[in-house]
Amino acid sequence: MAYSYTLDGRPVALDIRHRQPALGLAVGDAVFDVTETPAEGAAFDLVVDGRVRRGWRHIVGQDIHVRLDGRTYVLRRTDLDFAEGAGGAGGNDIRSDMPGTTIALHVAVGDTVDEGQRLLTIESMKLQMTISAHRAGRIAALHVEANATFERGAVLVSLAPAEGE
Amino acid sequence: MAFTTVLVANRGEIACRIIRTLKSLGIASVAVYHHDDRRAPHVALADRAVELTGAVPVQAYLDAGQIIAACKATGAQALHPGYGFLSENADFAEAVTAAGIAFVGPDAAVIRLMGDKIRSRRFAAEHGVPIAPSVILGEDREAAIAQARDIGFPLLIKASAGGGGKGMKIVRAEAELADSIATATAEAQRYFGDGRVYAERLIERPRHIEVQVLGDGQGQVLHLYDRECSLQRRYQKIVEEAPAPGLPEALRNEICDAAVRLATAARYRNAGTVEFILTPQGEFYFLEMNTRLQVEHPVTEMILGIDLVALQLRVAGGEGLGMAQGDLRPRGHAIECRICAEEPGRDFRPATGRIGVLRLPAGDGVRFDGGITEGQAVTPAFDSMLAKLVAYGATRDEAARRLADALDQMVLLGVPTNADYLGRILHHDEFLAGRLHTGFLADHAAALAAPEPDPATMAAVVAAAALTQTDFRNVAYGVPALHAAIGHWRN
Repeated sequence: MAYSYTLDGRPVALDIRHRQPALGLAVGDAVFDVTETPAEGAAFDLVVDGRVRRGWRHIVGQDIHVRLDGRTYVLRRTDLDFAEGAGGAGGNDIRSDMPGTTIALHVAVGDTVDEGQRLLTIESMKLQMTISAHRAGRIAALHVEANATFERGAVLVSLAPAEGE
Repeated sequence: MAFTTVLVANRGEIACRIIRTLKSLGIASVAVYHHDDRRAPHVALADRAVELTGAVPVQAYLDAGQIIAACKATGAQALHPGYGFLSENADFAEAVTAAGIAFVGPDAAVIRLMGDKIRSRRFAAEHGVPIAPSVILGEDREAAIAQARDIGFPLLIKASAGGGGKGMKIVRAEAELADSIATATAEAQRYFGDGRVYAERLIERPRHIEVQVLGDGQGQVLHLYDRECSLQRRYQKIVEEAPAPGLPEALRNEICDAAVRLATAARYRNAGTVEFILTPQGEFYFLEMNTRLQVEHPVTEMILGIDLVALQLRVAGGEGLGMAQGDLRPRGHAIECRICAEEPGRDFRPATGRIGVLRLPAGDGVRFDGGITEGQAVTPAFDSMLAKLVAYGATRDEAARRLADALDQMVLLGVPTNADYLGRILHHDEFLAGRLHTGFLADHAAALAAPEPDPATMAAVVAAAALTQTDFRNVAYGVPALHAAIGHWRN
């Protein structure tokens, strides 16, 4: 059975090749023997192909943050069907990937926008950013008002479905 | 007058850092906090804490009336504003003083002068401190454009009330000028309530050099040497050091003397920082003066063996400077890096989350100035800086090595940070060679990007992640389904 992850955004496949004498894991193009030693709390203690690898890990929602050798990696399991909603790039909804406040709305419901056209200006952690349309279309709904706060992942703007959808 | 109780009108790492000095001086400390910060380290660290209310957390820390009332209620004779928030608000300084409380900062008039970039530049020029060729972009747009043309492009438009890069616009050609003036004016109005802007010649690849000064308000000013703060992203510093590497001694003295001249002319009281840009040709120009304790003050403390907060309190209490210029002898080198909740790989986008795992580094010459704790939420309500990590060494190389080691040791999981990116800066050859300028991070972006891990490391990381997951463990170790459901392992 294969498992898939992204590691800092790049896809990585994982598979179990054997369980004895040690756990044999295929990661990328090679197979590694992995032995696990119990560790306290967020620490982990592995032996990977004979080399001790001690680090730290922490689960944040769908992500697993792993720190090893002075570097932190973010992994996300991608073979499970986490409900992402209908949005995301390419869909109809435009979401914010960080929480913040709307500073200005540059469009109104019913407006036709071009790809890349700015839709709203938001502020997060004292920085202003522009949210632009990822495709051309018509504004079906504005889910926020000016000076409103929103959470990470909130749908800010919905485009009307593109023709043919 | 020696203070017995001091209120710290700030939060986070700087509040903690000030409270530590108060403790060492035997002065009672009073913290203020918004409800969201009730479990924050600065509240726990202080002897007393007063809750401030505000619709959003920032509002509480900006509420002069409530803060002055908190001083009264706790009997605080002095107020330390830290940096940010109300630290450079002249009206606040005035109100604090009027309430009979010592403001640990300069007089309101000096804050006003230095807070107005147009006035402060004129003041600097009048006192023989060099300023870059510039033009005030006033009502008469046509005249402004003509003057700007005389200076030549590229130009940098700045807000008179600005700072920290806000409202700054680079204009490379005359055709962009009118639009850029309009945008900069609107942004300045929005951020600072003051739409006045000016343009100065853009110095390409400058170094940012600043001088720490300390004045007694009676016309006596010392310089506490220079700092280099050229490594910036979004016009904000992320790595600072003292002394500035490779600066010819004559030039260093000239810059420090200029800073003293400016602060003396202003009869400056308190610790302050005079910022300059240094051109590749070795000319330096006054940028601005910050009339408060600076984020990067620890590097100065480390090379001089002083406590700037203690000195600020001494001066605010009217006890004078207590030392002469000759008493200040820099030794060794110190480097600081700012640990921010952000994603360097995504254009330094601010990040939020909750700090799940925190292990602080330690070692010879290592100082961690933080105000964070496990379980703490990092929200968009405040600045993204979480902590500062500083290292001292006999040489710059030693300081860089110690700082890189400390970054390596530090574990902060749950919120993306720039810690690993900072580590790559400290290992970069050009950094180690001291070839610094404000375009450094952009110029070396490719070399500073996270490298691909080697296959064995990638395997270890993926295995460590997969082994947190019950379904994977069940298959890997062949645990019977029922046993697994009882759950001797949980995420």
